[in-house]
Amino acid sequence: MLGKLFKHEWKATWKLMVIMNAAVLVLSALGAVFFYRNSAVVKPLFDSLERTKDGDTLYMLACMGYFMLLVLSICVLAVGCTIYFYVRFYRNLYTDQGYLMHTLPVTEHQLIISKTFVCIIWRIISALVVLTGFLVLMSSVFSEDFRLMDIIKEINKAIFDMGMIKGMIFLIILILGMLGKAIFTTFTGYTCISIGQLASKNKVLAAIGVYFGMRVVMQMITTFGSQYLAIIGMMAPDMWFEMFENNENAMIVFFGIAVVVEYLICGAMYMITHSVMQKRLNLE
Amino acid sequence: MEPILRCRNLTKCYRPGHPVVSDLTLTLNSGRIIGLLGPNGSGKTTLIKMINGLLRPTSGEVYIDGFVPGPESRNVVSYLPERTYLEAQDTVSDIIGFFDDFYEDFDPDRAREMIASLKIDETARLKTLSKGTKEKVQLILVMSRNARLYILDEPIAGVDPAARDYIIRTIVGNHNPGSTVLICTHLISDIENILDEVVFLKNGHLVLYGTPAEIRDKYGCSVDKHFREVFAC
Repeated sequence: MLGKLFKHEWKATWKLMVIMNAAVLVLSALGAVFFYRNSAVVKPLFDSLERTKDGDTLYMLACMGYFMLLVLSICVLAVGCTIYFYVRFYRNLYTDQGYLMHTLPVTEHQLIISKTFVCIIWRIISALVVLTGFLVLMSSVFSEDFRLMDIIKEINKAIFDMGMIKGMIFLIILILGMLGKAIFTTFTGYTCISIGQLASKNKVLAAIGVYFGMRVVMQMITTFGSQYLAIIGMMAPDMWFEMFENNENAMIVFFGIAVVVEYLICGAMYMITHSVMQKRLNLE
Repeated sequence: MEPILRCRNLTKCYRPGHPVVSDLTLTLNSGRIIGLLGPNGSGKTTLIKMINGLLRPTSGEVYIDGFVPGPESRNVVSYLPERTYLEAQDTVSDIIGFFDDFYEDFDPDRAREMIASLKIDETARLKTLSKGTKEKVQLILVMSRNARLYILDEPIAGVDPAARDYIIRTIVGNHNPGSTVLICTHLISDIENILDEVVFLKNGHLVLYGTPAEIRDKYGCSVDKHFREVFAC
């Protein structure tokens, strides 16, 4: 049943997500052509433009307009993806459509997992699309100085300079951290929407209130934690050095702890969402 | 006859001390068409939601074909809520595919046949259909399952008399023989002649459970008239 839920969730969401991702890719590709000034096709065009003062202004305006459009499309993709899946979760499970979804022969776990899985896949795809677009654009703008292979080699070198095992651990923590962030963002919305359902009226408003409350608490914990570590580092640098020997070790340990905490919070949020759905469901 | 639904001391309070359904004990047998009748606020929809697992009882138990409300019980219950629960962007064909995927007892050919008999375009999106047509599509989907218990919440409310006749014909002509149909409605006169049993709810309490013939014999009037007397304002 989980496979069927996943199939229908994918079918219901792919069109809009493809359009949003395609918009970012097309804009990045257009920008790449636009800025690739050594190209035999584009160079004469810009040369003729820049011979006049008006040409310069026009070129600058076009650049600014383009970058604004690109940044806007990336923001729409990032924020839009998040909001779209939050709204879909709410509409599909807590409004009239919930009468169908909650009377399917499936468990609440399957409902939550299928929606989370599709949302996370689209988050990963969107992140890759933005990264690809950015790299294509950069390699075009700085065509002489920007070499993608050089950057990959540099990253590779930095990781392996840590040592084979340490480098691999760091890489794994990095990937888990990025995945954890996607799960965390998804569950934050799902949990707030579910907690909002406990209000007798104005459930959406209650969900928004819970969301901001949760953000403030998380921010306070993060700030307090990082400040606490910084103070220890400043006040007892010897102890710091004895504990970790070098900065790389400290980075791996603290980053690892942060990732574990992130997954624990995700687990707690999952349980809250499931509990509301199973025990406190009350569709209007 | 085997019971399909058993409720034992079922109570639901939204606020402490204010039960909407109160200590309800009820057993419904298979192979019957049963009217669940009562005025607004009598607890009919709350009871239906608890049977479907959309609400948790405050106390008491409910069993459907021996299962507590959950994925197993949903396999044997075909539920028509009073809301339109279908995605407006989907086509009629998409929704038939959806039901076919999730319900093993769903008969897509029967659904298509009924859709075609109403001259509804299968490729039409639901948002392009009228409210009445959407309700008919929803009823067709629910009645195309070979379920053991059909629960229909206000299936004939707010529709014209011709549509009402169509809905009643669809219910009577398509429910699985041997199954139970529980119809919740205010419009008793329209369905009185198809009911095998009636259940009266008042303020969350069961006040009457019997056959229409028993009610006519005992009170000397129709179920509809007796309803008006019991629930007179």
